Amino acid sequence: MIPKPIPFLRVGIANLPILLSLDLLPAPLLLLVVLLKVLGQGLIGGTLFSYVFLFSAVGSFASGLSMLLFRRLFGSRISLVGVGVLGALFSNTAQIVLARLLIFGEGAWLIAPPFLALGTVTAALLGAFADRFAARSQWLVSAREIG
Amino acid sequence: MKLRLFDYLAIAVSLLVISGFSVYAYAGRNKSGDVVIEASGAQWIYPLNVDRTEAVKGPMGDTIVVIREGKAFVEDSPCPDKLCVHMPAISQAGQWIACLPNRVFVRVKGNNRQQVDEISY
Repeated sequence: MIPKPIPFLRVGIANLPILLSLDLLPAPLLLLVVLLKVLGQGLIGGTLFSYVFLFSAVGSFASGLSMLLFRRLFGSRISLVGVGVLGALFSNTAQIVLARLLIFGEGAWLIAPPFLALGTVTAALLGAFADRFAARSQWLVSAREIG
Repeated sequence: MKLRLFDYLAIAVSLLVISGFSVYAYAGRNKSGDVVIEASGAQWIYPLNVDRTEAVKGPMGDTIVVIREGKAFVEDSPCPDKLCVHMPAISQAGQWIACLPNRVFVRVKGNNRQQVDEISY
């Protein structure tokens, strides 16, 4: 729904529910959310049976799993900013490797630095937003009580 | 917005990874390549950083290949159209000049990494 010219931004925002659910949901349910995100984006974008879907799935699961891991591992010593940054790092690196293997060959490394840099910045911003939202949201408090 | 210890560590690791990729992808592109000249079933390889002039024998005569200032070009050739002479000097991996009538093929062999003509994001 957000205009296509900024496709990466759209993908970034889709990680918001994942970030917010990190503390709310048990691991299997969180991964289910990741799966729903991947399927949902594939269905709406019409990319369900394409290479894009593969990249989306690999990236989302790489970030979902790594964010779960780091949140559980570091607890209160890391905020959603750090978690988001690491999640983006894992997701984007996995996608670069996939691009190297499947599509671009050695040329894939050329786009890696700007891609990773952009991902780090947007992940940090998203993580900061998620942190503030989690701290202030009454909706989230009621969501916690349900779980 | 208070950033905690591991947030800084996460950002530091990210920056490290980005720098690593940058070095790997963008450095080492200025190494001098080699010119490969193929004619009459034989192959000669010369470095681009040494100036020289070679007379390459073909069925019609000698094609003169000159390497100067890191580039290679065809100075003269016995073919009727002299297309090879008009082609611009080559210096990047993958570029080539050919004289088809005289069966001479000149190309630059470079690093293993793919060179690209243009990058757009």
